[in-house]
Amino acid sequence: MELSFRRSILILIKFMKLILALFFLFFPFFALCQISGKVQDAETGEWLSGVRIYVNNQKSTVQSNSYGFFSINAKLSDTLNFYSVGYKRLQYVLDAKDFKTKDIVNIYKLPQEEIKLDEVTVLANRQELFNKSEMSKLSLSLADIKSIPMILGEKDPIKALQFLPGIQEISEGSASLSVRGGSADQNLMILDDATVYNANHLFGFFSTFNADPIIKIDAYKGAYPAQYGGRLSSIIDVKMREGNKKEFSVEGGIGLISSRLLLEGPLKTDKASFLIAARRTYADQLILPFQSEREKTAYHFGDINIKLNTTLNSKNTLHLSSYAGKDRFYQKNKIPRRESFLLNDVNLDWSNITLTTRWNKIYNDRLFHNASLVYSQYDMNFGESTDQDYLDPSRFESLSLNSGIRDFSSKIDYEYFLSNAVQIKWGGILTQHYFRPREFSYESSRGLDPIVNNSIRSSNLEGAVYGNISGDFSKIFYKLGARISYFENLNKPQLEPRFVIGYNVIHSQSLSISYARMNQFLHLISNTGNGLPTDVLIPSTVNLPRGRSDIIGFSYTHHFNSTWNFVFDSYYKWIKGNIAYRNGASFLGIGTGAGNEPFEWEDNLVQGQSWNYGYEFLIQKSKGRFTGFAGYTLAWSISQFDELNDGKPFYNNQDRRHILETSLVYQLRDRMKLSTNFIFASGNALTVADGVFFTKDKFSDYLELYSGFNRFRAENTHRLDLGLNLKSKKNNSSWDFSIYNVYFRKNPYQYTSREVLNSVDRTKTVFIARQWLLPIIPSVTYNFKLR
Amino acid sequence: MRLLIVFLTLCSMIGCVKVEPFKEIPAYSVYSILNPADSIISVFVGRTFRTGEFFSIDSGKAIANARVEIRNKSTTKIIEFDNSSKSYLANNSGFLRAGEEYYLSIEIEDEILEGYTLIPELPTLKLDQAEITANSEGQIQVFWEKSKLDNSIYRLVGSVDLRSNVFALFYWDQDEGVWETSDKLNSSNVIKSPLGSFNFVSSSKEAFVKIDLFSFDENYDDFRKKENVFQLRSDFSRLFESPVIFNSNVSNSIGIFGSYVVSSLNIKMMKE
Repeated sequence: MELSFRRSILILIKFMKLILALFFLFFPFFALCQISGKVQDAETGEWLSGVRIYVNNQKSTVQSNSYGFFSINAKLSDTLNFYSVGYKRLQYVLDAKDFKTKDIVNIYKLPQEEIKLDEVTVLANRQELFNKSEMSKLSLSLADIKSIPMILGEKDPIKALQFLPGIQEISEGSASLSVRGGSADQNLMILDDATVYNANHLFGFFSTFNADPIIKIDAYKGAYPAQYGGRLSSIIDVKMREGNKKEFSVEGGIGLISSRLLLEGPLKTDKASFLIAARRTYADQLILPFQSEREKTAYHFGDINIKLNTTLNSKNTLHLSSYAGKDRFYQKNKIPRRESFLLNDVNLDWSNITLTTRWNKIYNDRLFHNASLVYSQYDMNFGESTDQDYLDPSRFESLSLNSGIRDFSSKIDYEYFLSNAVQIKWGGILTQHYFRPREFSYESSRGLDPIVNNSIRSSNLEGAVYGNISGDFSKIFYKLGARISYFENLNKPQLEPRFVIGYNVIHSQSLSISYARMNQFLHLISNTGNGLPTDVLIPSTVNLPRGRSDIIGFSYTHHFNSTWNFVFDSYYKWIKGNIAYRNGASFLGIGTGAGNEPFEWEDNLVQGQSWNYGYEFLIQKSKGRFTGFAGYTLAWSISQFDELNDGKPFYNNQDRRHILETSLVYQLRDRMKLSTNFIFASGNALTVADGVFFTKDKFSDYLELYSGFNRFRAENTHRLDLGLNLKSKKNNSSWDFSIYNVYFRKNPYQYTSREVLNSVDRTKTVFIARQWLLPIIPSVTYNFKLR
Repeated sequence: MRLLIVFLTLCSMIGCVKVEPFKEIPAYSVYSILNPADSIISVFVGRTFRTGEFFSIDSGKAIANARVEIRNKSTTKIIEFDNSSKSYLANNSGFLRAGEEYYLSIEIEDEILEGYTLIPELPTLKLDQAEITANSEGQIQVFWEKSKLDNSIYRLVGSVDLRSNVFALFYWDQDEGVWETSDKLNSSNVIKSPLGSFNFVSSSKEAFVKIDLFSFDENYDDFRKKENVFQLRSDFSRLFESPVIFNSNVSNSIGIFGSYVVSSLNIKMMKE
C-alpha cells in the first residue's frame, strides 16, 4: 500500500483520533488513584520486565515494561500482587506514603525463587498468566538458554530458539534462522535496540550472542507490535543484563573451544552498575605451534559485551550498552625460492559493532519515555597478497575486497498507562544507513596490470512512526497499531496496520486472531543463506523494490495451571517482493563483477512472491522437578517467480512439512540436572540435478538436467542431544557435560553431484552425494562464579 | 472449539497453493544450431541419463533410428544419420537462409519432438572510424542497423591477424542483451546500434583486424551463455552459485534448436 506523504499524515491523524476515542471510552477507570513504580530483582537490583501486576479485587492486570516501570489504578489498603516466573510472588499492601511520594518513584523488589524438589504446584490466578495479546511471541530467559545442551557446550541464545515451533535452523548446525518459511535475511536481530546485521560466528555455526550477558530473548513470529518493523518474517529482540547493583561478582567458563568471563558490580550501590562479558576461541593458539613455518592456517572469534547503567534520580536513568565481535581466518604461506621466499598471505575477517545509549524518563504516574541513540556496524574484509622477493626486480601483487554497512539511528518511544486495562505506546525511529556493498582494490608491481580501486557506496535514510493501543478486559483483549515506514530510495511512505483481538472463552482459555504487515527495505545477497561473511547487504531500489509481508494468525492458549501451558497457532503469510537468485547467478567473490567490472546485483536477483502457512503446537511446563517444552509444526512454504521454474510455483528451500522439537530438563538432585533435546524435521526442498544430457556423442563432459526447481527432497533430519549439569556444594561452580548428536546421525548439510568413473569399461555416472558435517560431539565446560 | 475447527478448515482451504507434481526428466536430448554459412546441417539426437545411470565415455549417447527433418515454408529436408559423427547430417546447399523460419521434427518410436527457430537477419556491419595514431594506438569504431522487429542478440568480437604485429588491448564484446531502442537513433523502421569500439596497439606500419558481428536467436543465446557458465564452474564454486537450469525449445526433450549468423568486416589499416 503506497501512500503520498500528505495522505499518510492524514491516516496518522485519523489513527490518533481513534486512540483518543478509545481513551474516552475507558475514561471511568480514572476514578481510582494511580500508583506507579519500578520492579527490581531483590538480589541484583536489576530492573525486571514482563512482571504481571494486579490488585486483589480487580480483574485486569498490568505488566512492567522493558525497564521495569508500571502504572496501575489502586486505592489505599489495596494489595498489589507481583508475579514473574523465577521469582517469589510478592504481595504489597498500599499505604498512605505510596500515594504521597509523587516525586519519588516506588521501587518494588522481587526475591528470586529457589528450586525445591518437593515443590507443590500452586495454581495461578488468571491475572498471572502471560500476556495474551502478545500472540506469536516466544520468550526465553537466561535460565532457559543455559539449560539447553548445545554443540561444543557453547550456550547460544539464537540456537535455543530453534527448539521452538515455527523457528528452524537454515541447515544442519547453522545459527541462522528460518521463521515460518522465511529466509535468514527476513529476521531482524536486535541487541538492546541496535541491529546486528551478521549475527554469526564460525561461518554460521554459532551466533554472535554470548549467553552470559543476556537476560531475555523475545522472538516475534507474527502479530508484530507496531514499534518493530523492517523485516518480513520475524523480530528477534535480545536484551542484555544491566549488571548487579548490589555486589561485585565474577563468573566464567572454560570450554573445549572457547573460554568466557563476565564481571559485574555496582559503580555506586543501588545507583549505578556495570557489566563486562567477553569470550574468545583458542583453537588457533593451540594448533599454531604444531604447524610448519611454510604454512600457517588459523581461525578464531571473540566478542565483548559492555553495559553501564546509572540512575540519575528516581525518574531519570541512563543506559549504555555495546557489543563488539570479530571473526578472523588467515593463512600464511612462506615457500623457499632460491635464496629468498615466496610469501602468500590470505586474510578474511568480519566484525559487528553496536553501541546504544538510552535515556529513560518517568514524566508522571502514567507516562514513560525512552530515547535512544544507536550505532551499528558490520564489516567484512578479504585480502590476499603475494610477494616474490626472489625475482629481480621483486614482484608483488595484492587485492582486497571489502563490504559492510553502518547505521546511525535515533529512536524515541513513549508509553502511557491509561488505565489498568489500557496502555498506549507511540514513537518513531530515524536511521541513516551507509551501505558499502563492494570495495575492490588491486595493486601489482607488473606494469601492464591496472591499479583499481572500485568502490560502490550508497547512503539511504529510513524512518518510521508508530502508534499502538492495547487493552485487556475480562472477556476481550486487543492490541491495535499502525506503523508508517519510509525509505529514501522509494519516496512513498508505506502503511503497516497491525492488530490482535482476543476473547477469553473461559478461565485460562483464550482465542485470538491477528494481522500484521511488514516492509523490508534491505536485501541480503547470499546464495547459501547460512550467514557467511561474504553475504552482502544492499538497499531497495526502484528496480529492486522493497519486500512486503502480510500475516494473519489464529491462536488458542490454554493454561492448565501455573505450570502447564498449551499454545496452538495457525498462520498464513504472503510475501511480495522477496528475492531469489537468477538461474546461474554467481556470488563467489561478491557479485558477478570480478575485477573492475561493474557490480550489478540487480541483474543477479529476481523478485517474486511466496506463501507460507502452517499450524504450530507448543506445550510447555515451566515449574517443578521436570520442566521444558515440546513443539510440533506442520507447515508449507511455496514461492513463485516469473523468471524461475517457468513461472510456476515451487517449494521453498525451507519447506519442511513436519518438525518436532523437544527440550526437557529434569532436576535429578539439588545439584544435578539432566537435560535433553530431540529434533525431527522432514527433508527440505532443494534443486539438485536429476540427470545429464549431451550435445555431441563423443564429448565426455555433460550438462546437468533438472526436472524443476527445488524438486529434490533431502532426507529427514533428526538428532538427540544430552546434557548433565553438576553444581558444587557451595553453588559457586559447575560442570556441564554434553553430547551432541548422541546416536551419530549423519544429517544432510547439503547435496552435490559427483562423478564416478569406471576405467575398465570406460563408463561414467553422476550421482547425488549427501554431505554431512556434524558427528557425535562430546564436550565439557567448567563454570565458576565468585562473589 | 467450534471456532478453532472452522478456522483450521479455512486455513486449509486458502492454503492450497498448487505445486505441480514431480515429472520424469525427458528421455531425449537434441542439439542443432543452424548457420546459413555452414555447408553441412547437423542435428544431434541423444538420450538422457538419470543420476546414477552409467553412460559410455566414448560413444553410445546418440540415437540412430530417428526420423529427422527440417522444413521451411516451401521445402522439407530429410536428414540422415551419419555413423562416423553420430549425428544426423545433410548438405545445406542454400537451404538455410537468414531471416527465414525453420521447423525441426524428430520421430523416435512413438514420440515426436518439435522445435522452431527464426534465423536472424544478416546485419550489415559498417565502419565508422579506424585509425592508428603516431604513438601506435589504434581504434576501430563500428555500428550496424537492425529492424525494429528483430529480437536477435548481438555480440561483437574483434580479432587481429597474426601476421600483423598488433596487440589487442581488449575485445569489444560487452553486448549480451538486445540493444535498447533510442529515439535519437531511430530512422523509420531501423534502429542504429551504438558504436562498438575496438582498441589495440600496433608496432608495425600496418594492421589487419577482423570484426565479427554475431547475431543469435534468443533461445540459442540463452543456451550458449548457460553452457559457458556451467563449464566454467568448479566443484567448490558451485556451492556459491545458483544451479544452471537449461531451457528447452524442443518439445518432449531437453536441448536447443537455434540459429545464428555472422557478419564480418576485414580492415587493413596504415599508420599515419
